[in-house]
Amino acid sequence: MKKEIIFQAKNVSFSYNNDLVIDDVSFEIYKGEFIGVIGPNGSGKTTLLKIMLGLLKPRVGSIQLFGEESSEFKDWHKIGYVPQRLAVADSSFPATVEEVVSMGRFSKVGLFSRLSDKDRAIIKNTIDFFELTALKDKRISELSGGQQQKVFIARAMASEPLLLLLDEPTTGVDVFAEKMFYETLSKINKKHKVTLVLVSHDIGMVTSYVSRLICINRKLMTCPAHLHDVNQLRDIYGESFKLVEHEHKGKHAHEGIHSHFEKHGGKK
Amino acid sequence: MIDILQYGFMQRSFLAGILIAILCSVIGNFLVMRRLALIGDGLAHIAFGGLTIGLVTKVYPLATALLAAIFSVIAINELKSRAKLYGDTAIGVLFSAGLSVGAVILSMNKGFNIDIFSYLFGSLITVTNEDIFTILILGIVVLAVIGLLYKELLFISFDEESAKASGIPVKVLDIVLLTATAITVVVSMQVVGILLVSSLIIIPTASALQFAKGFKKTLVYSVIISVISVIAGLFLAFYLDIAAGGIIVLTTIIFFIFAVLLKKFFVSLKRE
Repeated sequence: MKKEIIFQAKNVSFSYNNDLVIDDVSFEIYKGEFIGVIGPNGSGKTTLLKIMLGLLKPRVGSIQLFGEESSEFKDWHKIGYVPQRLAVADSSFPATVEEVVSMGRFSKVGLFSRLSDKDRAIIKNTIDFFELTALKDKRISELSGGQQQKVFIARAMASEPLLLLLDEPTTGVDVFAEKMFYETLSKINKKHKVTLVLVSHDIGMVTSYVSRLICINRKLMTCPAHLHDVNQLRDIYGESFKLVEHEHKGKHAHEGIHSHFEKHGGKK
Repeated sequence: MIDILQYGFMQRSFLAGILIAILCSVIGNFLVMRRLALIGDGLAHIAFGGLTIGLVTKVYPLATALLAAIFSVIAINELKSRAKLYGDTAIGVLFSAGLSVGAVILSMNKGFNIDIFSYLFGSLITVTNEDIFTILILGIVVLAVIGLLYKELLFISFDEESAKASGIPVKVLDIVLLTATAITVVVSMQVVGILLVSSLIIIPTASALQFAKGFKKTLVYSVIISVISVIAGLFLAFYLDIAAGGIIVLTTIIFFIFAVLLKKFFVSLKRE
């Protein structure tokens, strides 16, 4: 059976003023995939994500979502978005966990309409699924980083998306919460059949869960089969990188390895 | 019952005042959360320019003030997108324009200075039957629109980018919110006064934020604080013969101080 393409980028370029950030990038995403998008800081990964979400329009090239041109596409609720947590949650906004998760339904319900009983049931189920029931009346600012992250994924899942995009979701989340987080994502991917695209610079953790990697550094790069293949990573990240491995106690050795890239200014 | 309600002008003031209290605090929640708290002040100064034009040309001053404020909402958006100005800079430009037009017109026509004082600081006696009608109609329309767009306005206030990504028309909603603010400011002008409208927009929300455990609860608390302040302020204004806006806003400030102190007390109680 041929796999269904749900996202396609064709020769996409994007620049901020004259600064070319994405250069002639083409790729497609198939239904059911769990994709990791990796690349160094400033490689254009967040920009790429924003183009996928329709927040930015490509200067050149075209985007197709579920077989429709991005400019024609209306069903944005099919795409869930989990933003960088720190950009959103670090405020004194008084919204409760339940209020934030409800926001995920708003676009689907549409303007001028109220949430129906069915919407409320979906919100409740989502809150239960993410084990947030005990916290539902707490203010979002009272939660820990890991809990806040769960709330934002719950919000995105409340719209019952077919494609879920996550931007550096584990920033500022402790290692234990991070592992739980990836387990949850796997479950969403396998059980709920949601296609996932995860932007991250946390390469070690990402590779043990994703089904495919997209490596970007302005251009699309061929991804190495084994991530610890340093030579190929050097092609992606340029000369000036260093691979740091942190050993953690995990059940399996490969799950316990954390790798980060650190960019250095000077040449080696 | 209470003798002050025997006066027609007091009945009008109370009716207008309570509606204004609800309007300002509801709008205030979204503006404060969207970090646009001072836009009410900006729009009030612009409305002041429009108002003086209305007073000089003998056109209904609420209408000219409203036109000026709504026009400036459109202008702020244009300046932001076309001239690439920051939102607060765009407001600053129009704010100055409104105030300077008002100053020039006032200095050329010294005849109606008493009217101006009541518009600047609020008054009980200037609200006519015609005004009440305008205030009620506009106020109810604004509340209805905010009610219908509540969930979208909540979403864009909390997380504009995700709201946009989910297909919510952020730009349109922003214009709706600012237009609603312009209308709120203009209908509040007579009772609370141009210089004090923004206090009634900001302070009840700021007070409610000390305690509220959710957005909806903050909204409800701020409305209660605002309505109590306006009623108390109108009573005091009548019996002490002082500017209504001044005493209403002072009452909200007392609420705010009380809320901050009470929160401190509870926090220290929890620690023990």
